[in-house]
Amino acid sequence: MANGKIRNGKTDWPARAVGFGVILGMIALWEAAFHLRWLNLSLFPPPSQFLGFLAESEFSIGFGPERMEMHTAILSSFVRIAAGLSLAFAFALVVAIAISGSRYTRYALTPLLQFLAPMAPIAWIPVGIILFGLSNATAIFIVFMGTAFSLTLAAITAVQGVSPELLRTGAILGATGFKKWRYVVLPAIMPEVFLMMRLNFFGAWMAVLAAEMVGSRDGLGAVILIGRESSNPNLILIGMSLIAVSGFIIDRILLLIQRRILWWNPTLTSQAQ
Amino acid sequence: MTFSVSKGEFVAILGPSGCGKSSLLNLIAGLETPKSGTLLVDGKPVSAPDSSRFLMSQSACLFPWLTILQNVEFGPKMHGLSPSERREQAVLMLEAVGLQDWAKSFPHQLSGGMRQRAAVARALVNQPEFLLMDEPFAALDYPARLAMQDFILAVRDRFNPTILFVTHMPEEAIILADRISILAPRPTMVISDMRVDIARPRLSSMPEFAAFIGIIQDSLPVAQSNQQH
Repeated sequence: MANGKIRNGKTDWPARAVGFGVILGMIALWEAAFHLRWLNLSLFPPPSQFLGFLAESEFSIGFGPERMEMHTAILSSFVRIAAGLSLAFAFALVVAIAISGSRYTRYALTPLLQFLAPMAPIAWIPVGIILFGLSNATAIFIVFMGTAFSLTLAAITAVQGVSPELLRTGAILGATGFKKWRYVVLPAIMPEVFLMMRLNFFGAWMAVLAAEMVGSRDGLGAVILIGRESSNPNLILIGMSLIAVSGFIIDRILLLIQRRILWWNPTLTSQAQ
Repeated sequence: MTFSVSKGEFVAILGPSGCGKSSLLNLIAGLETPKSGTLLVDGKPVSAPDSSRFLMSQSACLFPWLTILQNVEFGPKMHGLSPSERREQAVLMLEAVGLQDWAKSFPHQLSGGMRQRAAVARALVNQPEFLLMDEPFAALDYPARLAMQDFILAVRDRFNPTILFVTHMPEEAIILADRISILAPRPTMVISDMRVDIARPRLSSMPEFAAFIGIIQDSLPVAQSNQQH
């Protein structure tokens, strides 16, 4: 993630090229080891093999009713993570602001959140399946439960950290009561909470994949599951590489949004590279 | 302590650290409530902060997520003005402080002096009766500070607010103020109150200027430690 650092607002292309060069070199070694028979890689075929398999099967996997198109698999995982994270983000902002309105609600509810937050997203899978069966709602529920509480805690901390001088200026300018929360506190805490969400994304991503592997019939997790069930290493590696690439792309998308939201805050923006 | 200001007056408040200069401004702004005694503005007691008594401090306190124009619009927006009205007022005010070219910029893109000018515009757009300035130029370098002194005098000529200006620099007080009040700590009280009768523009090269600095230095309470900033 660290290559292509931004310096003075310009992308550092040589650094980026070196980073991609290393990835290409690894793939070249992998291909060479397979084709020159340095190692027995029948269980670990290189990209030329599994991508070839993907093209042969017309970018879809499985048979009969279980047949699914690759883009559907990617899209469903994307939609699940996006829905889960957006809900958690909105929940965190609203609940944190509601709780922070009074010292007593904050004291009363923070320990409960602290108890719920460390529960790993994966731990919610059984509950999700019992509540929603094997559906989109399950995956969204897992992402939400796995991230919402730690985000809320982060948001509460962020509310406490809003500069008293800004609040004071807001009060002088007439931002009191609801207006204070809506026009001063909310925009002030957005960057921190969003950064927290991006850091929580990988946990949520793993949880979605795990949920899909446990039983859903679509999504990227299911691709690996079908590969295992049919003992097809090509399919397993397709699933794995799609997960890596998709995870990377989602992280980049979050980074772009973060730059849009945080860009007025140069210190946070540079921390968040 | 007893302290009063008349309308349109420019009063500089001098005194050592911890003598209650900032507390005095906070009280007038309505951000602190007096433990005893009364604080009246136009005969009415002060109860809560209000944009008619506008406190400004060393940091401009602009909202970093808003453009300069949106910052200036913030007060009118909170008071329920329509978007077109508040836009019009804000644009006029930015022109008045010479920041019309920076309307769409964000605070972190401006220099310290420009940020303070934007903060003044954000205050003035609410037509405050009082500008309460708590060492507003302390974070600026020397040339920027001099430019801001001229700026604040121009603002005063044009908008004529009552200004209470806390500073620890006698020179700044003499250049700006109609009247200088010197406070002493524990208990906070006004130990000296003098009218500055020097013709404007006041230049530090004038002989009466130097004489006035001498008078102020004689009346300042002796610092009890060297922590005076």
